[in-house]
Amino acid sequence: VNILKKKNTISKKDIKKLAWLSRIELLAKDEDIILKQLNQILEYFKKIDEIDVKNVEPCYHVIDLINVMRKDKQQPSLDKIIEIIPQKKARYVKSPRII
Amino acid sequence: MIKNEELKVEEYIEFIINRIKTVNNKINAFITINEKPSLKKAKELDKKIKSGKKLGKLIGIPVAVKDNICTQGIKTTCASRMLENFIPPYDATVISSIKKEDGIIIGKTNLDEFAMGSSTEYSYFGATVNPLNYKLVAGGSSGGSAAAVRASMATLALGSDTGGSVRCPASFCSLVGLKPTYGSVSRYGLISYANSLEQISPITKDVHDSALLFNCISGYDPLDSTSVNKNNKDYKKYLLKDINGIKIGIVKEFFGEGTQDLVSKNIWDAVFKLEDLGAKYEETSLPNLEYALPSYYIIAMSEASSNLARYDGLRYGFRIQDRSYNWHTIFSKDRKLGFGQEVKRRIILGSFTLSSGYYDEYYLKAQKIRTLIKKEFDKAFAKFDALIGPTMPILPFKIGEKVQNPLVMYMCDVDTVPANLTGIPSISIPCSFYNNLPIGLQIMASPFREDLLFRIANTYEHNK
Repeated sequence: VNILKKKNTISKKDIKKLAWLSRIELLAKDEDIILKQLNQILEYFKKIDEIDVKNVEPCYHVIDLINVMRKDKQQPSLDKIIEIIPQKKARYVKSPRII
Repeated sequence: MIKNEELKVEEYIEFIINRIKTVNNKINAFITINEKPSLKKAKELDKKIKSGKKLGKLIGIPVAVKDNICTQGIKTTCASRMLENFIPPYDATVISSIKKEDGIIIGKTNLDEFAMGSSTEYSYFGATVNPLNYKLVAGGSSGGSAAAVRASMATLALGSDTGGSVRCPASFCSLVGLKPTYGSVSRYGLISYANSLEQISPITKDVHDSALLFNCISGYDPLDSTSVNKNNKDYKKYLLKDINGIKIGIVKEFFGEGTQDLVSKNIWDAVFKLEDLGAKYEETSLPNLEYALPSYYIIAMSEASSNLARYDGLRYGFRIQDRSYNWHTIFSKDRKLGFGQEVKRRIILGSFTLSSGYYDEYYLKAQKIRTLIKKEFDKAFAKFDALIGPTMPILPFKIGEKVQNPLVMYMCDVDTVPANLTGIPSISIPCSFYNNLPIGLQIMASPFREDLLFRIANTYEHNK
């Protein structure tokens, strides 16, 4: 779904959407500053419009990645990860309401 | 001295800890000092020395570790409120390697939050100060590691280099910073920011120490799916003092607009020096480099927005206490309070560059430009053994000077990001000083040719 209307600057409405997509609540006073900064950065990113990349393959990784498989055998587990859960009940993560 | 029992490890570590306690409140290099475990380990090592057992390559050496590398039982904060109290239940592979070689993890060092920055000012725990001049930044994002070595609070240090985060502070603190070939050092236990670009990297006082630490941390690791299985060399063998016949390319684009004249002049003096020492140089051009910086930032931010999605405050990290909100709201509030401004900017912009309708225009295009830049480097390395330029286009700047203007801060990385985009190894070594401010010389080679970097760097270091 094309959530943002196609254009090359971010509006105040967009920033709210992007912040929500990023799951970062923004303070009202920060919205204007971040909006200005992001638009400055985007303006700079326009630099890449100058170059033609027709028929060029993207380089997602600089080395040729090969699937790494291991034997289906139990490895030592990190039991201690349970200890660092901020809010829990017994061995379970306590999450907020989902609906 | 330690091996000959002239100095006890315990005495040495006590000395280092006292040094940290005296100096760190001025420099702010360390977030956590690993005092008691280090002293305990020192005593064990003294016993090991007495027993005549085989000793590791880093016997009794205090190593400072950037606080985005996981250390079992020692807080690993990423200089973020989000991970302020995070104690990893496991060691990163590089930490296991250092321990295996009898090194001592002396403490965890300051950084820009989640390694996003070029000055170590974007830290939840305050800026790190440059030990060479307290008014200046130490460089970043591994500024704490560099400052720790510069101020003799550690002998060796580990940082991570995503777009110059080890070479920049090495340059600003007059140290040696090596960004290894992508895949040569395991990233297992390195807290991800932009995982297709970053490598754990040594920061040291000289080239010898850089080769020593790289020897210890490089190698194949099945726990990192991007680890490359290559036969490891002993890099100390390449600490030669001879560069006769070495072909060096001087990259025109590294001396472009934005590069201070005195930086260019000092780098050229170094080139003439290398020529005197037997190298052959020629100017060369990699025209697509002008697109490297915007491409780098698009890719880094996109990867950051994805990598940092894991910080929901549920399984570990910062979680607000209020129970009245639903899932998404809690998540958004945890992240509002847990992350600093620069991290928020990068996540939000990364969400934009990856979003439907913009993906092709930004992220995909940046990845295609990456291919073009990589091809230009391949071509250059068919002709030259190494490429040379400045590490930083400018001298170390004042604390507070750029912190309000993110774009100006990003510009500092213009000469360091090409090595990360292409995965090639790159080293920054002290070149010279101007008005008591250091200038770093950057040397790049083709993938897995760290041996060439050590050879050229060592020759220069011994003939400066």
